[in-house]
Amino acid sequence: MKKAILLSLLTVASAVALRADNKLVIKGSDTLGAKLVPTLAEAYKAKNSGVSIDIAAEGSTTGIAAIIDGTAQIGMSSRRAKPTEMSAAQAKGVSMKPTIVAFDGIAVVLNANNPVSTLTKRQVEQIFAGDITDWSAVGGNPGAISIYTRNTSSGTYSDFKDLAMKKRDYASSSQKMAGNEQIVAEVAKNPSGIGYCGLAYMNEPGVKVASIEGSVPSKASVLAKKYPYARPTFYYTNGEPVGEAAKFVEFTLSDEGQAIAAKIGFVPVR
Amino acid sequence: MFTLKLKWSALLGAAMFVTGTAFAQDSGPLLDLLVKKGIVTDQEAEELRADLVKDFAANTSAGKLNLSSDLTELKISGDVRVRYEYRQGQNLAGDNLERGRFRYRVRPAITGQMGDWFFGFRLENSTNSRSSNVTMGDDAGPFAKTNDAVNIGQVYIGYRVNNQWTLTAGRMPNPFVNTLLVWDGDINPEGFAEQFKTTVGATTYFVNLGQFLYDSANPQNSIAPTINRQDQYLLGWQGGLTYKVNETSTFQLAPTLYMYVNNKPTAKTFAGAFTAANATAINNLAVLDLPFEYATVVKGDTPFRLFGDLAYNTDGKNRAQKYGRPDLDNQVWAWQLGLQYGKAKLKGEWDAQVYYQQTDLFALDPNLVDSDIFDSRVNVEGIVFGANYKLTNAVTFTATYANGKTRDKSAISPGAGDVGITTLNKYNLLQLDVVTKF
Repeated sequence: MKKAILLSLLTVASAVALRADNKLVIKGSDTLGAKLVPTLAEAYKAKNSGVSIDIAAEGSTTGIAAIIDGTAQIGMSSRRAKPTEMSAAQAKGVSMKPTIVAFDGIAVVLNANNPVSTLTKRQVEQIFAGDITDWSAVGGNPGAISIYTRNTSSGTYSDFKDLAMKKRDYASSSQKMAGNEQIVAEVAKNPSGIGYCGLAYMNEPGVKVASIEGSVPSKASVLAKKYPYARPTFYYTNGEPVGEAAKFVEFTLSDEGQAIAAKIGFVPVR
Repeated sequence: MFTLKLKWSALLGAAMFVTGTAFAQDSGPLLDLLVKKGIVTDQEAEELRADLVKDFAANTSAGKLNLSSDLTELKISGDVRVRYEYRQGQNLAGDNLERGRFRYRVRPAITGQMGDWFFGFRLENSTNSRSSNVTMGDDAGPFAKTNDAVNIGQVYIGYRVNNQWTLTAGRMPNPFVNTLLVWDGDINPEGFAEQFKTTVGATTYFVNLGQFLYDSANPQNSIAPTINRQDQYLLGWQGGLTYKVNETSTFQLAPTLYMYVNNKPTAKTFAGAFTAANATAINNLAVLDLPFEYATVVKGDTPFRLFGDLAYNTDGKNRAQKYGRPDLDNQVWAWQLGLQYGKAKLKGEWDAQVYYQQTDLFALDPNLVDSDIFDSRVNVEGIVFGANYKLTNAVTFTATYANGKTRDKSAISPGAGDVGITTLNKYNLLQLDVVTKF
């Protein structure tokens, strides 16, 4: 009888362990986590039955924090980890390893009816920093500029500051949105709106993409590093990924995974 | 290609080895260039970048700091001073009171800027408004810390309206051009200041305005039948100029008017008439002050300065009458005149100065005058010698000697000094300081 109970317990424990091995928790960037990673996850699960993948896309900061505190196996991030995050990770014995999973360009989006279609880098900086507050200053129709940005936990929020604003602060009048899709939706509704989003979100009705000093975000301009607001996107792991996380990273970088990235609107790593 | 790649990688590795962790902060453009040239892949560059950042985060203090992204500048500064001081006062009977003491002070400060806004705060280890010293061995026991408090010496927020106007609120560095004749250098007034500066040709014009809470009534409106009180203010209006005489010489003049508001009999602390028994009262003080300075160079390139200050209490006659000495109603002037040779800025440099100072009994606010030179008093006069020598760029040895006396010995020399003699036949002060600034 005792043997039977022990055997049953071992069987249950094995089943739980197996389930734990097959569960993958991915947290972080909305840029990656809203479209690309869920699509990759579906394709991956279709090939690997029994695998459960939880995705929480609440900003790159949350993804990096999740790797540091061990609550996710993969942290999605559209920005590089900061020195303070690296320091916090090292203090906990976590080795932050970045893997570039795709390239992205941050497109500056305008309402489709806005007569302005090209901006200089200086004008973009001045608009988002609040130095220029009226469209007439950049050749548009007179009217106050409505600025839409991501929220502060977003990697795109800090990447755009670094790439486009010389690390200046956003205008105090700017409105912070939870995700790329929300920004695009608001700009589409507001003729005076301006915002930014990843490549995967820019081809939506009601908005158009501003040309920045003659360069528009595209696969070619991003790969050639011609587009000024291009950036890599990352998976962060604690050292070399293992188990299901390693398989998922491998799948993301495979031809199939990169084809999905291209289809969604990202630029494949090769 | 392999050779070229190896060469670039070796170059990068060598640069990392030579420049250490600081390299992490500057490596981005070089890595981007290596990627652009196809020498390393994006992924290789990213891993290297991550390693550099890890190294920076682990091995530098800067890597562990997490500062607000709104900060455009943050500065940590301050000073530590150790002093030997000897004070001697002689009464009219010729008896001496002497005190020698070792003292120290520390004043760490943090100042920062966020665009046009700025802030600052400074800690000081003494509660005294006119001194941040603590006397060694003066606590309640050997090596006790009872006097070693941590106090806020400065705390302020400011806004630069444009290149000319600056507004400041809080407990701030004194915004006025001043000398030790009128203001003790340790006083950080509390309230509001507006400063303007503009240059036209060879002349810089400036305006400094101050509205300082001299004493806050608490409460202003009491439950009857208790008397109601008002806050007392010290207001200052200063408008002056600095004229560039030539490439090496400037002349500065800063006429100022100081006035006191709500000095009523019901005031909380500084009420009533200034008398021998009520020496902190601020009645009938409307002081016109004229600090001035001529700075030039002599013997080729040695800085030389002629400086001084002239103050006149326009309401001094009434102050004298309320004191009960209408016969002294002409004692409403104060002045200082001195010379300085040299300027101790860098290691090995020195300067020396001498000045004479005289303060009439009814000329100035005794709560503000310098606490060291003539023991926080008015109705004093005397001579002061000082010298500074730079031991290093950051460490200064300073010696100060003052010799003074009560000016009109038919009256006392009021003030909250350290020497417990009301009428000084003689007063001597010697201070020897070592100051480190960081």
